[in-house]
Amino acid sequence: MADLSNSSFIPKRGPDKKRKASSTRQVYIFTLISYVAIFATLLGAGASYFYTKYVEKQKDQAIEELNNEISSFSEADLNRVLEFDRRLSQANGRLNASISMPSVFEALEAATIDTVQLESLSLTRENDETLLLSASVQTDSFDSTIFQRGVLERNETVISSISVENLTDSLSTDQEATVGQQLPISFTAEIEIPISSVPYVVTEELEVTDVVVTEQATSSDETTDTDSEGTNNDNETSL
Amino acid sequence: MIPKGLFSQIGMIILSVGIIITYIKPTFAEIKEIQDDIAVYERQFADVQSVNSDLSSKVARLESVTNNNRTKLSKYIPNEVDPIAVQRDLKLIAEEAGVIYRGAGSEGTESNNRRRSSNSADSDEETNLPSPHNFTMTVEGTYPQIKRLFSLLERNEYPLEVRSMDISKLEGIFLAVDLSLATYSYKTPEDVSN
Repeated sequence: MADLSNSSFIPKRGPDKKRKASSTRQVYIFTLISYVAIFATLLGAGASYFYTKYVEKQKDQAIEELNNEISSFSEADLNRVLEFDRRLSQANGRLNASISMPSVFEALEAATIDTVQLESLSLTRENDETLLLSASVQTDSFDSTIFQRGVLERNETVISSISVENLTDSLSTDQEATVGQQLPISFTAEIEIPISSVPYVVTEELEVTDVVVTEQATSSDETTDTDSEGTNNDNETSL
Repeated sequence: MIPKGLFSQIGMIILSVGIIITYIKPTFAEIKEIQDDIAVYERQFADVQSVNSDLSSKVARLESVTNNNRTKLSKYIPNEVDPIAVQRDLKLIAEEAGVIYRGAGSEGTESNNRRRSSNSADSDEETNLPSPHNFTMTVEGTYPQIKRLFSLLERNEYPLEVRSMDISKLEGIFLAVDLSLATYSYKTPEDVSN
Protein backbone atom coordinates (compact mmCIF):
# COMPACT_ATOMS: atom_id res chain seq x y z
CA MET A 1 0.00 0.00 0.00
CA ALA A 2 1.29 3.30 -0.97
CA ASP A 3 2.33 5.68 1.72
CA LEU A 4 -0.35 8.34 1.68
CA SER A 5 1.39 10.63 3.92
CA ASN A 6 4.18 11.27 1.53
CA SER A 7 1.88 12.00 -1.30
CA SER A 8 -0.03 14.72 0.40
CA PHE A 9 0.27 18.16 -1.06
CA ILE A 10 0.30 19.61 2.39
CA PRO A 11 3.80 20.31 3.35
CA LYS A 12 4.90 18.31 6.16
CA ARG A 13 5.90 20.01 9.30
CA GLY A 14 9.12 19.02 10.73
CA PRO A 15 9.35 17.50 14.13
CA ASP A 16 8.43 19.95 16.91
CA LYS A 17 11.34 21.66 18.23
CA LYS A 18 10.42 22.58 21.79
CA ARG A 19 11.17 26.13 22.45
CA LYS A 20 13.01 26.58 25.65
CA ALA A 21 10.96 28.39 28.26
CA SER A 22 12.56 31.58 29.46
CA SER A 23 14.20 31.16 32.89
CA THR A 24 13.51 34.74 34.18
CA ARG A 25 10.94 34.74 37.01
CA GLN A 26 8.54 37.60 37.41
CA VAL A 27 8.31 39.14 40.90
CA TYR A 28 4.95 40.64 41.52
CA ILE A 29 4.59 43.65 43.80
CA PHE A 30 1.71 42.08 45.70
CA THR A 31 3.79 39.02 46.40
CA LEU A 32 6.54 41.20 47.73
CA ILE A 33 4.13 43.13 49.96
CA SER A 34 2.59 39.98 51.31
CA TYR A 35 5.95 38.46 52.17
CA VAL A 36 7.19 41.67 53.75
CA ALA A 37 3.97 42.00 55.70
CA ILE A 38 4.02 38.48 57.09
CA PHE A 39 7.69 38.62 58.02
CA ALA A 40 7.41 42.08 59.52
CA THR A 41 4.36 41.03 61.46
CA LEU A 42 6.06 37.92 62.81
CA LEU A 43 9.16 39.93 63.64
CA GLY A 44 7.06 42.64 65.30
CA ALA A 45 5.11 40.05 67.28
CA GLY A 46 8.32 38.45 68.49
CA ALA A 47 9.89 41.80 69.32
CA SER A 48 6.84 43.04 71.15
CA TYR A 49 6.71 39.79 73.12
CA PHE A 50 10.29 40.17 74.24
CA TYR A 51 9.93 43.90 74.82
CA THR A 52 6.87 43.22 76.98
CA LYS A 53 8.95 40.84 79.05
CA TYR A 54 11.67 43.47 79.27
CA VAL A 55 9.37 46.27 80.45
CA GLU A 56 7.65 43.90 82.88
CA LYS A 57 11.03 43.16 84.33
CA GLN A 58 11.71 46.89 84.54
CA LYS A 59 8.41 47.38 86.29
CA ASP A 60 9.20 44.63 88.80
CA GLN A 61 12.55 46.27 89.39
CA ALA A 62 10.91 49.66 89.92
CA ILE A 63 8.42 48.14 92.35
CA GLU A 64 11.20 46.42 94.23
CA GLU A 65 13.22 49.65 94.45
CA LEU A 66 10.16 51.52 95.65
CA ASN A 67 9.43 48.88 98.27
CA ASN A 68 13.03 48.97 99.44
CA GLU A 69 12.93 52.74 99.69
CA ILE A 70 9.61 52.62 101.54
CA SER A 71 10.92 49.99 103.93
CA SER A 72 14.01 52.12 104.61
CA PHE A 73 11.73 54.93 105.87
CA SER A 74 11.91 55.09 109.64
CA GLU A 75 8.69 56.15 111.31
CA ALA A 76 10.45 56.28 114.66
CA ASP A 77 12.91 58.84 113.28
CA LEU A 78 10.06 60.87 111.84
CA ASN A 79 8.23 60.87 115.18
CA ARG A 80 11.43 61.86 116.95
CA VAL A 81 12.00 64.76 114.57
CA LEU A 82 8.35 65.87 114.70
CA GLU A 83 8.28 65.74 118.48
CA PHE A 84 11.47 67.76 118.74
CA ASP A 85 10.23 70.26 116.17
CA ARG A 86 6.91 70.65 117.95
CA ARG A 87 8.59 71.15 121.30
CA LEU A 88 10.99 73.64 119.75
CA SER A 89 8.11 75.54 118.12
CA GLN A 90 6.22 75.66 121.40
CA ALA A 91 9.30 76.88 123.24
CA ASN A 92 9.99 79.42 120.51
CA GLY A 93 6.40 80.64 120.69
CA ARG A 94 6.64 81.21 124.42
CA LEU A 95 10.05 82.85 124.08
CA ASN A 96 8.70 85.23 121.46
CA ALA A 97 5.77 86.07 123.73
CA SER A 98 7.89 86.52 126.82
CA ILE A 99 8.41 89.95 128.27
CA SER A 100 10.74 91.44 130.78
CA MET A 101 8.88 92.67 133.84
CA PRO A 102 11.87 94.67 135.09
CA SER A 103 11.74 96.49 131.71
CA VAL A 104 8.10 97.33 132.37
CA PHE A 105 9.02 98.66 135.79
CA GLU A 106 11.89 100.65 134.35
CA ALA A 107 9.65 102.13 131.65
CA LEU A 108 7.13 103.02 134.32
CA GLU A 109 9.83 104.57 136.49
CA ALA A 110 11.06 106.63 133.56
CA ALA A 111 7.55 107.82 132.84
CA THR A 112 6.71 108.70 136.42
CA ILE A 113 7.41 112.27 137.49
CA ASP A 114 8.85 113.11 140.90
CA THR A 115 5.69 114.58 142.38
CA VAL A 116 3.70 111.42 141.74
CA GLN A 117 3.26 108.42 143.99
CA LEU A 118 1.73 105.12 142.96
CA GLU A 119 -0.50 103.76 145.67
CA SER A 120 -1.18 100.48 143.99
CA LEU A 121 -0.46 98.87 140.68
CA SER A 122 -2.18 96.00 138.98
CA LEU A 123 -1.17 94.39 135.75
CA THR A 124 -3.05 91.94 133.59
CA ARG A 125 -1.73 90.16 130.55
CA GLU A 126 -4.34 89.98 127.80
CA ASN A 127 -3.53 86.90 125.71
CA ASP A 128 -0.14 87.42 124.13
CA GLU A 129 -0.97 90.87 122.89
CA THR A 130 -1.16 93.52 125.55
CA LEU A 131 -0.45 94.33 129.15
CA LEU A 132 -3.14 96.30 130.91
CA LEU A 133 -1.83 98.34 133.79
CA SER A 134 -4.05 100.03 136.26
CA ALA A 135 -2.29 102.33 138.67
CA SER A 136 -3.75 104.24 141.53
CA VAL A 137 -1.84 107.49 141.50
CA GLN A 138 -1.53 110.38 143.91
CA THR A 139 -0.18 113.81 143.06
CA ASP A 140 0.09 117.14 144.79
CA SER A 141 -1.73 119.24 142.21
CA PHE A 142 -3.74 119.24 139.04
CA ASP A 143 -0.70 120.58 137.21
CA SER A 144 1.24 117.50 138.21
CA THR A 145 -1.64 115.35 137.03
CA ILE A 146 -1.68 117.05 133.64
CA PHE A 147 2.09 116.86 133.37
CA GLN A 148 2.07 113.17 134.34
CA ARG A 149 -0.60 112.44 131.78
CA GLY A 150 1.44 114.26 129.15
CA VAL A 151 4.58 112.32 130.00
CA LEU A 152 2.70 109.03 129.70
CA GLU A 153 1.07 110.08 126.44
CA ARG A 154 4.38 111.07 124.93
CA ASN A 155 5.91 107.69 125.76
CA GLU A 156 4.63 106.12 122.56
CA THR A 157 7.39 103.57 122.25
CA VAL A 158 6.01 101.48 125.09
CA ILE A 159 2.58 102.83 125.99
CA SER A 160 -0.12 102.55 123.34
CA SER A 161 -2.94 104.20 125.26
CA ILE A 162 -3.46 105.99 128.54
CA SER A 163 -6.60 107.11 130.23
CA VAL A 164 -6.95 109.04 133.46
CA GLU A 165 -10.09 108.24 135.43
CA ASN A 166 -11.66 108.72 138.86
CA LEU A 167 -9.93 112.00 139.48
CA THR A 168 -10.62 113.15 143.03
CA ASP A 169 -9.48 116.15 144.98
CA SER A 170 -9.41 115.58 148.73
CA LEU A 171 -7.69 118.85 149.56
CA SER A 172 -9.48 121.01 152.06
CA THR A 173 -8.37 123.73 154.43
CA ASP A 174 -8.54 121.56 157.56
CA GLN A 175 -6.54 118.81 155.88
CA GLU A 176 -3.66 121.00 154.79
CA ALA A 177 -1.59 119.76 157.69
CA THR A 178 -1.64 116.26 156.35
CA VAL A 179 -0.71 117.18 152.81
CA GLY A 180 2.88 116.13 153.37
CA GLN A 181 1.79 112.58 154.13
CA GLN A 182 -1.21 112.17 151.88
CA LEU A 183 -1.18 113.81 148.45
CA PRO A 184 -4.52 115.45 147.73
CA ILE A 185 -5.17 114.59 144.07
CA SER A 186 -5.69 110.98 143.20
CA PHE A 187 -6.66 109.29 139.99
CA THR A 188 -6.52 105.95 138.26
CA ALA A 189 -4.32 105.60 135.22
CA GLU A 190 -5.23 102.85 132.80
CA ILE A 191 -2.25 102.10 130.62
CA GLU A 192 -2.12 99.71 127.70
CA ILE A 193 1.24 98.33 126.68
CA PRO A 194 1.64 96.14 123.59
CA ILE A 195 3.68 93.08 124.50
CA SER A 196 5.75 93.44 121.34
CA SER A 197 6.99 96.83 122.51
CA VAL A 198 8.31 95.59 125.83
CA PRO A 199 12.03 95.19 125.38
CA TYR A 200 13.40 91.88 126.50
CA VAL A 201 16.67 92.50 128.27
CA VAL A 202 19.10 89.65 128.53
CA THR A 203 20.31 89.88 132.06
CA GLU A 204 23.60 88.59 133.21
CA GLU A 205 23.28 85.14 134.68
CA LEU A 206 24.04 85.24 138.35
CA GLU A 207 24.77 82.22 140.43
CA VAL A 208 22.64 81.76 143.52
CA THR A 209 25.66 82.09 145.76
CA ASP A 210 26.73 85.34 144.02
CA VAL A 211 23.37 86.93 144.70
CA VAL A 212 23.39 85.90 148.35
CA VAL A 213 26.98 87.09 148.82
CA THR A 214 26.26 90.42 147.11
CA GLU A 215 23.17 90.89 149.22
CA GLN A 216 25.02 90.12 152.43
CA ALA A 217 27.88 92.42 151.47
CA THR A 218 25.47 95.24 150.67
CA SER A 219 23.56 94.85 153.90
CA SER A 220 26.70 94.67 156.03
CA ASP A 221 28.38 97.67 154.37
CA GLU A 222 25.50 100.04 154.51
CA THR A 223 24.01 101.33 157.70
CA THR A 224 20.38 100.76 158.40
CA ASP A 225 19.56 104.44 158.09
CA THR A 226 21.14 104.99 154.72
CA ASP A 227 19.61 101.78 153.47
CA SER A 228 16.13 102.79 154.50
CA GLU A 229 16.61 106.23 152.99
CA GLY A 230 17.76 104.81 149.71
CA THR A 231 14.85 102.43 149.62
CA ASN A 232 12.54 105.26 150.50
CA ASN A 233 13.84 107.27 147.57
CA ASP A 234 13.26 104.35 145.24
CA ASN A 235 9.84 103.93 146.68
CA GLU A 236 8.94 107.55 146.19
CA THR A 237 10.01 107.75 142.62
CA SER A 238 8.22 104.61 141.64
CA LEU A 239 5.98 102.89 144.10
CA MET B 1 -7.86 30.95 36.02
CA ILE B 2 -6.53 32.42 39.32
CA PRO B 3 -3.10 31.13 40.26
CA LYS B 4 -2.69 29.31 43.53
CA GLY B 5 0.00 31.69 44.74
CA LEU B 6 -2.39 34.57 44.91
CA PHE B 7 -4.50 32.83 47.53
CA SER B 8 -1.53 32.20 49.72
CA GLN B 9 -0.41 35.83 49.36
CA ILE B 10 -3.82 37.11 50.32
CA GLY B 11 -3.80 34.64 53.21
CA MET B 12 -0.46 36.00 54.38
CA ILE B 13 -1.76 39.56 54.28
CA ILE B 14 -4.86 38.57 56.21
CA LEU B 15 -2.75 36.67 58.72
CA SER B 16 -0.49 39.67 59.15
CA VAL B 17 -3.44 41.94 59.76
CA GLY B 18 -4.89 39.39 62.15
CA ILE B 19 -1.64 39.17 64.12
CA ILE B 20 -1.38 42.94 64.23
CA ILE B 21 -4.93 43.35 65.46
CA THR B 22 -5.07 40.49 67.91
CA TYR B 23 -1.55 40.49 69.30
CA ILE B 24 0.74 43.36 68.38
CA LYS B 25 -1.68 46.21 69.02
CA PRO B 26 -2.83 44.93 72.44
CA THR B 27 0.78 44.20 73.32
CA PHE B 28 1.76 47.75 72.45
CA ALA B 29 -1.09 49.03 74.59
CA GLU B 30 0.06 46.78 77.40
CA ILE B 31 3.64 48.01 77.00
CA LYS B 32 2.44 51.61 77.17
CA GLU B 33 0.44 50.83 80.29
CA ILE B 34 3.45 49.17 81.91
CA GLN B 35 5.66 52.09 80.97
CA ASP B 36 3.12 54.47 82.51
CA ASP B 37 3.16 52.33 85.64
CA ILE B 38 6.95 52.41 85.65
CA ALA B 39 6.86 56.19 85.37
CA VAL B 40 4.45 56.35 88.31
CA TYR B 41 6.63 54.03 90.38
CA GLU B 42 9.70 56.06 89.50
CA ARG B 43 7.96 59.25 90.55
CA GLN B 44 6.86 57.62 93.78
CA PHE B 45 10.35 56.31 94.28
CA ALA B 46 11.77 59.82 93.79
CA ASP B 47 9.23 61.20 96.25
CA VAL B 48 9.96 58.57 98.87
CA GLN B 49 13.67 59.03 98.30
CA SER B 50 13.28 62.77 98.73
CA VAL B 51 11.32 62.26 101.97
CA ASN B 52 13.93 59.80 103.23
CA SER B 53 16.74 62.14 102.31
CA ASP B 54 14.95 65.06 103.96
CA LEU B 55 14.31 62.97 107.06
CA SER B 56 17.94 61.86 107.16
CA SER B 57 19.15 65.46 107.00
CA LYS B 58 16.71 66.44 109.74
CA VAL B 59 17.77 63.52 111.90
CA ALA B 60 21.37 64.60 111.35
CA ARG B 61 20.48 68.12 112.44
CA LEU B 62 18.63 66.72 115.44
CA GLU B 63 21.64 64.63 116.35
CA SER B 64 23.85 67.70 116.05
CA VAL B 65 21.94 69.38 118.90
CA THR B 66 23.98 68.87 122.01
CA ASN B 67 22.60 66.87 124.91
CA ASN B 68 22.92 69.93 127.08
CA ASN B 69 20.68 71.96 124.79
CA ARG B 70 18.20 69.11 124.49
CA THR B 71 18.03 68.86 128.25
CA LYS B 72 17.48 72.61 128.49
CA LEU B 73 14.67 72.41 125.95
CA SER B 74 13.06 69.54 127.85
CA LYS B 75 13.28 71.59 131.02
CA TYR B 76 11.88 74.69 129.32
CA ILE B 77 8.88 72.79 127.93
CA PRO B 78 8.68 69.59 129.98
CA ASN B 79 6.32 66.73 129.26
CA GLU B 80 4.57 67.31 132.55
CA VAL B 81 4.58 70.06 135.12
CA ASP B 82 5.01 68.99 138.70
CA PRO B 83 3.04 71.54 140.78
CA ILE B 84 4.97 70.75 143.94
CA ALA B 85 8.31 71.29 142.23
CA VAL B 86 7.12 74.59 140.80
CA GLN B 87 5.93 75.80 144.22
CA ARG B 88 9.25 74.76 145.73
CA ASP B 89 11.08 76.72 143.01
CA LEU B 90 8.86 79.75 143.60
CA LYS B 91 9.73 79.67 147.27
CA LEU B 92 13.45 79.33 146.49
CA ILE B 93 13.29 82.24 144.05
CA ALA B 94 11.44 84.37 146.61
CA GLU B 95 14.07 83.58 149.23
CA GLU B 96 16.84 84.36 146.79
CA ALA B 97 15.23 87.69 145.93
CA GLY B 98 15.01 88.52 149.60
CA VAL B 99 11.26 89.01 149.69
CA ILE B 100 9.02 87.57 152.38
CA TYR B 101 7.34 84.52 150.96
CA ARG B 102 3.69 84.37 152.00
CA GLY B 103 2.64 81.39 149.96
CA ALA B 104 2.11 79.86 146.57
CA GLY B 105 -0.52 77.61 145.10
CA SER B 106 -1.37 75.71 141.99
CA GLU B 107 -4.48 76.52 140.02
CA GLY B 108 -4.11 73.61 137.64
CA THR B 109 -4.10 73.63 133.89
CA GLU B 110 -5.89 76.17 131.81
CA SER B 111 -7.87 75.50 128.69
CA ASN B 112 -6.26 77.08 125.69
CA ASN B 113 -9.69 78.21 124.55
CA ARG B 114 -9.63 80.86 127.21
CA ARG B 115 -6.38 82.15 125.90
CA ARG B 116 -7.37 82.07 122.28
CA SER B 117 -7.68 85.53 120.88
CA SER B 118 -10.37 86.26 118.36
CA ASN B 119 -8.09 87.17 115.49
CA SER B 120 -5.30 84.66 115.94
CA ALA B 121 -7.14 81.40 116.38
CA ASP B 122 -5.81 79.34 113.55
CA SER B 123 -5.01 75.71 114.03
CA ASP B 124 -1.27 76.02 113.49
CA GLU B 125 -0.99 78.53 116.24
CA GLU B 126 -3.14 76.34 118.44
CA THR B 127 -0.78 73.43 117.84
CA ASN B 128 2.15 75.62 118.79
CA LEU B 129 0.66 76.59 122.11
CA PRO B 130 1.93 74.45 124.94
CA SER B 131 -0.39 73.54 127.82
CA PRO B 132 -0.44 76.28 130.44
CA HIS B 133 -0.37 75.57 134.19
CA ASN B 134 -1.31 78.40 136.50
CA PHE B 135 0.17 79.23 139.87
CA THR B 136 -0.35 81.97 142.39
CA MET B 137 2.23 83.50 144.64
CA THR B 138 2.08 86.08 147.38
CA VAL B 139 5.14 87.90 148.62
CA GLU B 140 6.04 91.03 150.51
CA GLY B 141 9.09 93.14 150.14
CA THR B 142 10.61 96.41 149.10
CA TYR B 143 10.47 97.68 145.56
CA PRO B 144 14.07 96.69 144.69
CA GLN B 145 13.48 93.24 146.15
CA ILE B 146 10.36 92.82 144.07
CA LYS B 147 12.20 93.94 140.96
CA ARG B 148 14.86 91.37 141.73
CA LEU B 149 12.15 88.76 142.19
CA PHE B 150 10.87 89.44 138.68
CA SER B 151 14.38 89.37 137.35
CA LEU B 152 14.95 85.96 138.94
CA LEU B 153 11.61 84.67 137.66
CA GLU B 154 12.77 85.57 134.16
CA ARG B 155 16.02 83.71 134.56
CA ASN B 156 14.33 80.49 135.62
CA GLU B 157 15.07 77.47 133.47
CA TYR B 158 11.40 77.10 132.58
CA PRO B 159 9.05 80.00 131.83
CA LEU B 160 7.25 81.65 134.73
CA GLU B 161 5.09 84.06 132.84
CA VAL B 162 3.37 86.82 134.77
CA ARG B 163 -0.33 86.70 133.90
CA SER B 164 -1.48 89.21 136.44
CA MET B 165 0.00 91.12 139.29
CA ASP B 166 -1.35 93.28 142.08
CA ILE B 167 0.98 95.49 144.05
CA SER B 168 -0.30 97.41 147.01
CA LYS B 169 1.37 99.42 149.70
CA LEU B 170 1.83 98.01 153.16
CA GLU B 171 3.24 99.81 156.12
CA GLY B 172 6.40 101.77 155.51
CA ILE B 173 8.36 100.80 152.48
CA PHE B 174 6.92 97.35 152.15
CA LEU B 175 4.73 96.28 149.31
CA ALA B 176 2.42 93.30 149.04
CA VAL B 177 2.48 91.49 145.72
CA ASP B 178 -0.06 88.97 144.50
CA LEU B 179 1.14 87.20 141.40
CA SER B 180 -0.55 84.91 138.96
CA LEU B 181 2.04 82.98 137.01
CA ALA B 182 1.90 80.46 134.21
CA THR B 183 4.30 77.81 133.16
CA TYR B 184 3.93 75.39 130.28
CA SER B 185 4.15 71.74 129.45
CA TYR B 186 4.60 70.14 126.05
CA LYS B 187 1.37 69.55 124.21
CA THR B 188 1.25 66.45 122.06
CA PRO B 189 -0.87 66.27 118.88
CA GLU B 190 -3.22 63.96 120.79
CA ASP B 191 -3.76 66.72 123.35
CA VAL B 192 -4.52 69.13 120.52
CA SER B 193 -7.07 66.78 118.94
CA ASN B 194 -8.68 66.11 122.31
